[in-house]
Amino acid sequence: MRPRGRSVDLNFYAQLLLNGIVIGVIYALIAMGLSLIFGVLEIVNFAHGEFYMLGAMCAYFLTVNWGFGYWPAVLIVTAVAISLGCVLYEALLGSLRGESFERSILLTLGLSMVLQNGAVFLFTTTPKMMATGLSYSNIIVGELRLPLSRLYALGLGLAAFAALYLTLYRTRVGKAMRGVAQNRDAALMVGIDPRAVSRLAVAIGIGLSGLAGAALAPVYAVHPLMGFSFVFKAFAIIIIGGLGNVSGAAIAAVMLGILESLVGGFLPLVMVDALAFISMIAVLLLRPQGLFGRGVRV
Amino acid sequence: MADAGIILELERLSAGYTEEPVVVDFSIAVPGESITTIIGANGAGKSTLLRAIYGLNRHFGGSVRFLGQPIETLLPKDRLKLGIGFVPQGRCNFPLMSVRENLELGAYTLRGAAAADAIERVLAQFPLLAAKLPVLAGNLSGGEQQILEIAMVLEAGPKLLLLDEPSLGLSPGNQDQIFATIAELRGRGLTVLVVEQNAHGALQISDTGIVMELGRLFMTGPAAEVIADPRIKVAYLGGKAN
Repeated sequence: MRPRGRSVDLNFYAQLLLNGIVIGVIYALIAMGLSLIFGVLEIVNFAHGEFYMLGAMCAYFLTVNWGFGYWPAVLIVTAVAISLGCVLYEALLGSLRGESFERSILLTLGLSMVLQNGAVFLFTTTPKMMATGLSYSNIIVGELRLPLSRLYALGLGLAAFAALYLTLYRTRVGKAMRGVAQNRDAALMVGIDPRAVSRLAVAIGIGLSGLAGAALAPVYAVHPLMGFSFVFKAFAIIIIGGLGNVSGAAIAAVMLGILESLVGGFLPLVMVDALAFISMIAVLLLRPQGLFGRGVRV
Repeated sequence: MADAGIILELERLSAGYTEEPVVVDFSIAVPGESITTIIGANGAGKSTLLRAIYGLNRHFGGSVRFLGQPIETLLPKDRLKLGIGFVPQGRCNFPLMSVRENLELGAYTLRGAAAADAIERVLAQFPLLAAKLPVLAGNLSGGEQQILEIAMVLEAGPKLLLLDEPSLGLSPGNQDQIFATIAELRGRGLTVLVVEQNAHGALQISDTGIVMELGRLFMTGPAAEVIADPRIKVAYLGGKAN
């Protein structure tokens, strides 16, 4: 039931806002990775959400079964996800490019099914709660209760966003990634190896997805189907932000997270899940290039 | 033209994209510190030939030797490091990056001080770019973008420059500027192999002319002779048959 009274209401809204920012930042991690891969390789990776699921699963087993702490688990999962990204590129995505768009959809959709059903076979669909020391720790600010697990997820998300931004805009290889996304011929002209850059883009994208899964594992229930719904929401986000526009995807993701959380305080959950797609339809009708401009603005 | 020996030699080169070669059994020898212009009808395989020299398409057979070294198996980035620069047809820069960032990426194969020196060098060579450093490349005029693209490739210090339709889509004034720039590059010791639709403008600054038809070598000779050939006049230079 919704609390009553002005001060209680303010706290209630503040809590919703915090929850919205946390989930928005995690949406952003997944959407930015998806957008980066789309921008550089011109491939829509339907299996992207499964790496979020695998990240959460790995974090669960590392902490609950093998006794790792939260931070070591996050580090290990991120490193494994980055390595998986390299493998994914070399094994499957490296042979695809824009001209193989339909093939890329079928291939990544197939991979998504394999990973999802493999996870169901191995772990069953029973949701798992990653109970760690973090799970019941809160920071109290006035009448606001801030769960530590959400704050950590928020911090990780913001740090990852800053790291990605600095990589893309301040490093040689990041600029090369933006270059390949903007004009592959020009990249070849100046001696950039598009394969190496594409491999790195997939590694970063999948790494962000794994990190998101590990960061959110203590917050939400972990189960094999959690990635599939997430990836469609991420598609909606990158369309809202502008296809291929990484910064646009990040801003759209945080906006959607806040909107979902605020509306979720008043409406049933099923209605909340429709918000991303209602927003996407509205953007496609009113501003087809996305809120922040479509294209290769990695 | 200085006598600097043969810099590029193609021998029975066949190249293309899918199952059939577009360029067939093509053999030429390009002397150093010269300008060679390739002309031909649309679809003759001119661009395919340049892309084959830079390693961007499928090699069917024959050899490509640069300074005596076979390079058919090298990746484009390795050909660039060896001294072959290629400016493709159409706008070939990073339109959403500033001129400065474009020049930084132009020096991608260089490191540290060498990269900074290369940027300074091309800015001194093309002062118009120095005034446009913060401008997005996509907002430059067509002529300025073409100059930027040439500058980006020159940063790597190529000995051979391959230019695919550098005057495409430019105003007559900008075309003259591009041809003057190409002539100046030869003066600095570069060898230029250029594909041009504006055959007259390009041949006028060239030492050698090459005519391609249906992927094969149709004619080669001093540019003045190619310009004077009645068949070429009629087909490519807007002349009338006698």
